[in-house]
Parts: sequence; structure tokens; C-alpha cells
Amino acid sequence: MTAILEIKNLRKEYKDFSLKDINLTLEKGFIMGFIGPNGAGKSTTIKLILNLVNKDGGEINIFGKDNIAFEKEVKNRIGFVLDEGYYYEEITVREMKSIIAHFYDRWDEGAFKKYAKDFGLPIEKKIRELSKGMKMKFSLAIALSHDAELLIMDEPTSGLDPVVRSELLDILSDLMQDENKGVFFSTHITSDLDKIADYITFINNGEIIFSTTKDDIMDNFGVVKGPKELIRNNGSNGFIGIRENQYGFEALVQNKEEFRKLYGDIAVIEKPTLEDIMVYYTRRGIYA
Amino acid sequence: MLNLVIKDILVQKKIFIASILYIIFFVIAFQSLGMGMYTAAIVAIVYLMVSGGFAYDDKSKSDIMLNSLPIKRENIVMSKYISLFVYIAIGTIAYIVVTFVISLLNTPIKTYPVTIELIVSAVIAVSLMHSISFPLIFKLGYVKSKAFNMIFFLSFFFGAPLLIDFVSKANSEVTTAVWTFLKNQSDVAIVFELLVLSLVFLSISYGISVRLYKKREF
Repeated sequence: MTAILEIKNLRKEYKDFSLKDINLTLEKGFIMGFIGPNGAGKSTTIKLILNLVNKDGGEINIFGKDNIAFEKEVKNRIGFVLDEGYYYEEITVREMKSIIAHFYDRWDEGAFKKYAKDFGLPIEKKIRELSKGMKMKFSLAIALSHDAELLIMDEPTSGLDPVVRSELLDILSDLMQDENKGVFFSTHITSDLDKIADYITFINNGEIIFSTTKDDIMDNFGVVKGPKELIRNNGSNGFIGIRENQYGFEALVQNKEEFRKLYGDIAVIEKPTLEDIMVYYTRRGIYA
Repeated sequence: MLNLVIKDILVQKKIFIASILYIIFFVIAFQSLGMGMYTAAIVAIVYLMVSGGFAYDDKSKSDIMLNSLPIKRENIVMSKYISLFVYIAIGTIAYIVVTFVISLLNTPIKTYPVTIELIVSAVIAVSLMHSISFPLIFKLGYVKSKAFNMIFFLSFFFGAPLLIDFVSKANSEVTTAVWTFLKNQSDVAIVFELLVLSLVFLSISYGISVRLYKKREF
């Protein structure tokens, strides 16, 4: 089966930041959360997928096709929700919709009307008058109204209140009833993904730290707490983001079963959240 | 692609009202230009509309949105070149309406009818001017290229009559040769040649703009 999104050794160099040969694969029927702290390279990756910036190396295949050679075809089958709408502020929602609708081969006006109604979009209002949540919903309505098979979302939930965020997550879960679709969802609000993501790709400082199923992460990673002697005697190898305090240490381990066998009697192991994992990893350089 | 032209007009919805007002202003301001008033007014109005369209793109960073849609970058560039002719048409209609109304009002304001030669001269002037300004805008974006384009526009606008004046009075061998060449042809032929020349410029400019815009990052 061809992957819906496949990135191979993608590279992009900026003066003060570079994306270093990243790889990831998303199959049909799944939601991939793309997490990492601000400035890790999430938006750059998404801009490369959408060909908004030029790559310095590597390959991006969408539906098995090169994203630049088949740009128009590929983009017809993608829905995107970016962190801002980038719409013209002076015109109404209806006018903006009409402009955009003409570019999609498979525009479905009925679907748009249905989403506009469900989301409560004020169709005659100017874009400028929409709240941030409304703008996101407008983007989402557009993204869902041309039979897109891949949804690409760049920080869609940032700056939104919990109610709108939760609505978005429900919509995405609904959407995934269709096994032919896939969602690539970047966020630094990892709690969004606890509920809906199947895969998690974690990027930090331009490098992919891991890209695997959420279950795999939840089953294997562990936050461990134990006496300081444990690290003194055995070294800090294998521990991620160690933090010491006067009572002991805390760290993240990648293989908690192995840890349990060795130190289960003197240390505590807890199930991490995605946020824990992100925080421990990004702490690495400073404390380890 | 036409859709993109319509978009530029839609975002500047008040463009028609504005163009009527501009034309009224230009007709009064350019009284001394005589027949040239139409061409001057069109050049100015197209400049304002083009700038308006680019300014809105820039303000909402909509290049990001447009380039995420299934649109080829060539088409985004092409739409701006086509819009030049649409704006000339809008300006011409506004000019005809305004001069018609003024002539009815029996005022001392002089008006001149639009002729084919005048329309062609407007096309030539607009083409030449934007052949130079467009590649820069596509490379740098509207805001960054604004200062340059403003200077360029003003020097074009006020410099062109001076240049013509200078050339017509100059007496070098080159100008004499050019004059002789031109004198041997009919006015229609000269206008036609100039039109072709300016369209060639416009095509070259389009090619350069596409190359620059394709390299641009958002």
C-alpha cells in the first residue's frame, strides 16, 4: 500500500536553523501528531510539504507522488488548516469561499453548506470580524469540502479555547471513520493528541527524535523516580532529561520494562504523557 | 486564473467608486496635458489599482494561502499581468462616464474623447512601466519593493514628457536617424510597432517574474 505521506531525508538549511534529513511515513486511515517545541521545525516541514519553501534535499511523496512534480494534482487532494487563515480580511466569508472553491476540481458546495451550518459560520460577515476560532473553523470547512484525502494542519489549536479545541478533535475523529483519509497534525499542545492520534512524530531542533505509534510510546516510555545513588553508581546512560533534587532524581526512560527488571525494587515508574516526553527530551542538553 | 483577477477586484471592492473619483481628480489636475490627460489618468489609475491588489495580498500574507491551493505559481503571476488590461478597461469606462457627465454640466473644464490611438498609447505606457516594476514585486513582495516602485513610477510619470521633449529637440545623428525612420512610416505603423514592442517587453517581464516568484519562499 502506498503511504499517504512519505518524507525521505528531507533537508532545509537556514542561517540559524536546519532541518536535518528527516524521515516519516503516514499510512491511510491514521492521524499523525507532529509534536515538538516552538522552533523545532514543525512549520518548516509543513511549508516544505506544501511547497511554500524550497527544499535543499530529500523527497516528499504524497499519495505516492512527488509533491512538486505533481503539485496541482496533489494539492487538489489535500486540505490544509494553517495557524493563521491568511485570508483577505476585507471580504466576506462567502466571497472568500467562492474564490477558493473555483480552484478545487472536486469542490462540494453541499458539504461546505453543511459544515458552515454545523460550525455556525457567519457567512455574510467579513473575515476581519471573525474570531480566531471561527477563522480556524472556516479553514476547516474549506479543507473538508473538496473531498481531501489528506488533511495537513499546522498548529490549528493554538490560541483557541478548550471548547473549540475539543470540537475540532471530535470532527477529526468523525472524519477518520473514512479509512481512506489521513491527518497530519502539528501542535505543541500535546494533550490534543492524547485522545486522537495514532502515530506521534517528535521533532526537536530540526531532527526527528522518534516517529512511531502512540501505543508504542505509551507502552515503552516511562517516567522514573529514584534515589540519586542509582545514577551515581550506574551512570546516566539511557536516562533522558535527568533532573535531580535533594531527595532523588527524575528522568524519562525509553524502555521501562528493562528498567523495571533492573531497578524496579528501588525506583518508581510512572506512565508519561506526551507532554512529559516532550519536556524531558528538550531538557536533555541542559541537565544531562 | 480569471478567478485571481476577480479576487483582486473583489478585495478592492470600492475600486469602481474610487476610480470614478480618481478620474474626476485627474481630469481636473491634468487640464494642461490636453489629449494626454486620458493616458496620464489611465497610467495613474492602473498604478493605484495594481498597488492596491498587491498591498492586500501582502497585508493578509495571502501568498501563503494561494500557494497552498492547487494553483500554479505561473498563474498567480499571469493573473497580475492580465489584470493590467482589466484595470485599463475599468479606467477607460470610468473616464468615458466622467468626461460625459462633465461635458453635460457646461463647466469650463475641458475634456477630450477617448480614441483608439489613446487607448493604445495607454496600453503601451502601462505595459512598459509594469514590465519593470512587476519582477521586483514578485521577487521582494510589495512592501519591500514599494519605495523603489514609487520612485520609478514618479520618474516615469513626470520624466516621460521631459524625455520626449528632450528627444524631439535634440539634434544628434541618432535622433535624426530615428526621426527619419519614423517619418517614413504612417502613424498607424508606428503605433503598431510600439505596441508590439511593449507587449514583447511585457512577455519578457512575465518570464522573469515567473522565475523569481517560483524561487520565492513564504
